[in-house]
Amino acid sequence: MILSYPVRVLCLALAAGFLLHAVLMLLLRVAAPWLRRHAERMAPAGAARWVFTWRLAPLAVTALAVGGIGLPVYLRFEPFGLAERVNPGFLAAGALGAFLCAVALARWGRAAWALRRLAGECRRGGSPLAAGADNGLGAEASAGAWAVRSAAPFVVLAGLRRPRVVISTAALQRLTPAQLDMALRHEQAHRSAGDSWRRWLFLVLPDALPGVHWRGPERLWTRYSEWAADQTAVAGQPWRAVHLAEALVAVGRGTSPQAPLGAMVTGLANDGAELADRVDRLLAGQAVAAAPHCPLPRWIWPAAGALLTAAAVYVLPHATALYPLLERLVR
Amino acid sequence: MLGFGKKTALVAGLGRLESEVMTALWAQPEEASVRELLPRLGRSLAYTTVMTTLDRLYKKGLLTRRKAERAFVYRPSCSREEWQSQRAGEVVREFLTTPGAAHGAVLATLVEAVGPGQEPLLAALEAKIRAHRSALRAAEAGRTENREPTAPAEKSQ
Repeated sequence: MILSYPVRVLCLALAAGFLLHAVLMLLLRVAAPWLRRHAERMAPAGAARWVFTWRLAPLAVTALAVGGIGLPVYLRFEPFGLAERVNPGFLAAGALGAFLCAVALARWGRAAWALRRLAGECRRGGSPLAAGADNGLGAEASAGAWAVRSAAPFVVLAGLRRPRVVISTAALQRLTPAQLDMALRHEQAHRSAGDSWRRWLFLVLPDALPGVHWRGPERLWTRYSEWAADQTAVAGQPWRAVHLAEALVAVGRGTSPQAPLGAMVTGLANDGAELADRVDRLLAGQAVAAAPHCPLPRWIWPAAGALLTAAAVYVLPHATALYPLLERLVR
Repeated sequence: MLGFGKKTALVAGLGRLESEVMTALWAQPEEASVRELLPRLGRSLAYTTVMTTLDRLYKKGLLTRRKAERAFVYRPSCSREEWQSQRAGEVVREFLTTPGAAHGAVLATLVEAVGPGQEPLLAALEAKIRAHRSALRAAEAGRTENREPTAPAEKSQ
């Protein structure tokens, strides 16, 4: 098949991006057990950052390599405006790359629409949750929180740019002031940590292959970010841990007559193990005690820096050598 | 686009005409028949159109009605704020109960929902919390008791 110059360049970007990203994702999956083990030794907040970083790495490296090196080299050496015959494998890789980008964009669009709708409804229907002596809420915990009428007990952080804590009237009735305070502190901790953006990015990150949605890192990140928010909310106070554990069970249960157990089942089909883990951590004092500080091995950042420098030193003078490789991919 | 910005004129979850009718009824919350409501809507509409809309709103639970002479008279069953708050609650709940990554991405819940049939687990967790609470209280009481005898000793030193 013969492709015009601009279509070929676009196809090259997609094909090279797809192949490199797939290889990096494969490497990531191979290294995942080690990465996971290392995360287990870190404090929850650090572990959440660590998981997020390595899940983001394949896309970041791919974008840098293709956009920063591959494409400029090809544009520099490829005769401008020439139509050329391309091989079917190249076309297939380009199509797969386009498909994965389209899936990521579609997810982004759906989430943007959903978010807009949610934000609109909460903005119109939410009433500010005021701090005061009557409800025992502190100004810090209730800042920017909104209450909405619902028979289902929920406490959620909704939104991206300016996320808000939204709490249902059922949750307000079910939770004691101390439990409510802890529930709000937990969500505010998510807000301060910028977890909404990370959650969003997890959604739009492309998969390695069509139909293969690897949710392992996302689940792991969710767990560590929840643990980190628990820890921030508890702030080293044992009674706070008890109140938060009670709030978790009360909200997880959702057994008001209007919202029977199971009315709030999400797509993640939670079997309750995560909830049990969190309650155990809170009661065992793991969220109360200062978290063990287990940074990455000291050598890892100098090693990464040295590797990048070496790669740059090698690649830049030899960038011309990339062109035949790209040509082989195209033809 | 993605934040909490400006307001729209439409009532959440209602169509344009439904919004107009509800806005008119909320503005003057006495009972109104179709004939009384028509001039308050600010544009010429067929009697039957408004009647059908009122009937639809009644079925949605936004209006109550009673028969006065030969026609129904309608009254809002809740305030505008109550309705919008209820709508917002329904939307959040829908997000929590609808499977799909797009929904999950925009909401961080306090706790992932627990599936049906998990009552024993929840009961066990509650028991654990109760036991921990008692232990914590006992420890605090113990600390208070321990502190009292040490005070004179400290003084004697």
